[in-house]
Amino acid sequence: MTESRSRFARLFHTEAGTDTVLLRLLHSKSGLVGIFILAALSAVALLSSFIAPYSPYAIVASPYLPPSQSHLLGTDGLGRDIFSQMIYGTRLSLEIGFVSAVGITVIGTVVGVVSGFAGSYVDEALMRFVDVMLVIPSIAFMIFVATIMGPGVVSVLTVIIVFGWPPLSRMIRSQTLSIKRRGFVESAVVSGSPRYYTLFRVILPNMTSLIVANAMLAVIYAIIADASLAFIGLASTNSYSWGSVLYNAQIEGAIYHNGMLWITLPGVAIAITGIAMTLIARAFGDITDPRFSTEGR
Amino acid sequence: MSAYGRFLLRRAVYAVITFFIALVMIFIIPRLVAVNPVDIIAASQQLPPSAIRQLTVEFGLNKPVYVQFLLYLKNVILTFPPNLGFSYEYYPISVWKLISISLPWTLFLVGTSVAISAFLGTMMGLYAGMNRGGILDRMMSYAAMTTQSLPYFWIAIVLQILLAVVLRVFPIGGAISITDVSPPYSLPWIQDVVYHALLPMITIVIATTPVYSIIMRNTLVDIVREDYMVAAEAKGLKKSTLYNTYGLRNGILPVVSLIAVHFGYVVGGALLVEIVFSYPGVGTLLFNAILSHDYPLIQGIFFILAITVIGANFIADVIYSYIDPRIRYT
Amino acid sequence: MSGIVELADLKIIFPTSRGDVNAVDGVTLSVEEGSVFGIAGESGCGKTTIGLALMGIIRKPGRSEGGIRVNGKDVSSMKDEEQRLFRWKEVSMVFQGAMNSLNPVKNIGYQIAEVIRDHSQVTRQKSMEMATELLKKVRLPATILDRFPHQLSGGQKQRVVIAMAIALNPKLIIADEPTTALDVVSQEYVLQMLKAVVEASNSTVVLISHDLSLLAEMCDYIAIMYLGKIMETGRAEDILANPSHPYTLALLDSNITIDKRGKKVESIPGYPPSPINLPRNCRFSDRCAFATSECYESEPPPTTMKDGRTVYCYHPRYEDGEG
Repeated sequence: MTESRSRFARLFHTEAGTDTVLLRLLHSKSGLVGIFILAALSAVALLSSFIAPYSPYAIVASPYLPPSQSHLLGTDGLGRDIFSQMIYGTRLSLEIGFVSAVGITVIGTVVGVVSGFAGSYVDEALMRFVDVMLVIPSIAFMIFVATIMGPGVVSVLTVIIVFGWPPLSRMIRSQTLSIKRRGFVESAVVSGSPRYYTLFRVILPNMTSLIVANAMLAVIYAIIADASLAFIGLASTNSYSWGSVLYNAQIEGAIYHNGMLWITLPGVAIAITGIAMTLIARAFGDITDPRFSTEGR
Repeated sequence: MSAYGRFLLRRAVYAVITFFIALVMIFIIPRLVAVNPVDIIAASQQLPPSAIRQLTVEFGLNKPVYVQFLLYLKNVILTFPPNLGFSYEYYPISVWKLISISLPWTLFLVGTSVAISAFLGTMMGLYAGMNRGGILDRMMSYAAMTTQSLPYFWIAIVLQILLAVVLRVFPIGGAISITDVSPPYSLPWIQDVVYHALLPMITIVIATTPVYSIIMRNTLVDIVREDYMVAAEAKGLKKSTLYNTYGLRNGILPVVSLIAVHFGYVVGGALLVEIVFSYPGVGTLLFNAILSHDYPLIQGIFFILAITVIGANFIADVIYSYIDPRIRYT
Repeated sequence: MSGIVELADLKIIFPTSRGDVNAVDGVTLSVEEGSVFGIAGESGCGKTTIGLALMGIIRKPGRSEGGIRVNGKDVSSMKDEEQRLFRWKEVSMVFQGAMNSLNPVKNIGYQIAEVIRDHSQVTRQKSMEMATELLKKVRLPATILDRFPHQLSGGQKQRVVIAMAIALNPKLIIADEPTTALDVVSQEYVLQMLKAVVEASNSTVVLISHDLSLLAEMCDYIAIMYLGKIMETGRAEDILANPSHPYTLALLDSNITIDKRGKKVESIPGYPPSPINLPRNCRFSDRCAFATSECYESEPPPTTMKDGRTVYCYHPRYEDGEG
């Protein structure tokens, strides 16, 4: 009871609310671990040209070398340095992750808020469409569309965003509806505040942490989707993401060429990123919805 | 008509509409992006002009788009088996023939794994939700975080290396041993099939059980707050009664519909798992079709996938309405 | 003579991030066997928490201090299975049935039979026969057995809940706001039903309600609660005719009844203080018209009056009763 009352107090005072959310994020141990991992990965991505010992495209040694001092993860079937490919892959994977997440979050939020705020036939039409998108097997359709658009970063980004926003819009819509029903929003509407004021000053700020948390989860969704597309050969062939490193490892038979690290590390990198994003999202999520916390309170 | 009948009818109409939209997408996307499917084929296969002309006529591309669409609908809906054209790669085998060979493998793999993981996940989620904050709850939460942060097929790769390449307890791939000459559906044949399917199944079960268990657990977190749960506790009911007729029977309802929503995700992931294990299902067929730019085959596979997933969702709706008395008896 | 319910300085505490909430804060009372005992007070005063505590239900992470003895047993120290069998067999509860205290996915017959079978070795068939008999007692037809909760009216659900409460002939029945969620017509009907059933069963009843006229009609004894503490307790007719605690007085004034038609309804000024970290003085002092400096300094000890009631007040209003 008091729990929900204090949550309400935070929601009423948005400015203070945002502060509390950030503060809590820094106070939550797992949230901090997530931020630390993300910072480290971002540093690798930004400094990839300094960290990577070779160009990822250059043939620098004999093919299928096992891991050694000069080639930490060995070389691929053409004699290119796999470690350098992983470092450059960090950059592209994170880029794809974050760019898609921005696209997904913007579309999902706009559709969700409009649907929940406008109501009636607009809501009905948008949500029927979202239902259809949710039922369509998304990975399969992503593969389909990407096949037709041809391999490349643009088609990967497009399909990830197009099939990524519907679940988010549903969540945002129901949150909009629940905020709309709260006393302070109803009173803002009744007292004659303009609609855009209610929307931008009252409803959106009260969903900040929900939106941010889901943006974090969208990053990992996009990275996994990219890896899946790359894995069936739909990534660009002239740039490396973790997914394309994994694809090469599979295609070139890494299993039979002592390539255990080659084939496992891309997945580990994706998993670490995913765990970091989930930890951050959870730190937000626990704040917005403490019901689902596993910590016994 | 009863309210229950109306509910079923409405869901059926939704399923048909969704299927129709999927058909439109399958038909229109290649034309939107590439303008002309023949051009794509021509570019990838270096066909002579005569072949291009023949393909244009075969595709009906000399006719207006809406006529093309109606023709397409006639071919895939009004014809049985659906006329999905011919594969380029395996010409003159029809797309339908190729799919009908590989689809049973996928249905066997996905059906069995989903049944196992839905059962395991529901039970684990039930226990974790009824004992929130307990050991299983915490462990499950970490397991879900990890598996949801991983590409599905990567788990397949790691299991393959570990159990098939290093420890050699399972076959690396395929659905039957090449050396297996026992007649289909005989006992040794079944044993061989199960043995080959185990590793892909374990992968899918590992990847999807946490998803189901978290859904169930979060549903239970809401349910244990309901008045009827406090009342059940006050009635001094047996623990088994509390778990079965209260937790499970109430928690399973939202879970059934969410399992349906996640079915597309499970199938999509299973396609990639098939590729890793060269399992002769739809996923591997698709992979080869993509590698050889076999567009009619790709299009046909998506047609079948759309039917399968939308159909499964509709079945889930029917099950849901059947087990929820609030829908069935109104 | 010790009663069927004995509470000795009972405290129920719910820790929250902002401090402990003392939902029940030192309640001592005794309920005589065979009587109807009313607990009255505003919502949030801890009366429902006490009701659940009598069955040994304290929702996590809450905890209790002090003694709860029901039917001679220490409720708080029972083992799991012992506690399970104690519940409903010895103490049952009438919930606000029109709310959702029935399992939405099982039919009524199943739910009544279920509680019988979980407490005794009877066949499915026999338990269904017993369920039919129970429904007859609350004047519901056997066709109700196959119905689901959402198909029943509020009054029907409430009668089902009463039938369930008497299923195992418990020594004690706790009725928590048994008629609150119903419309006026069903309220009266359900009340008569409850009365008849209680009289027929010889059970002791603890009736929890905010409705003083309901308590006046039903109860032999009554306790008035405010913020987790008893303000005044004694024979219902004494207290309701001649309230002694200023809070009881205020509560009676704010109650709307038919015979007060035309009179002004008084509300109690102010709001109850937060239940977190309560001050160690009289908790009604801030809202009390008769408070003196004494009341702001320390908590009033119990005073026993001539008519046997106990009052926790420095300035009881009904002086005649003073011993």
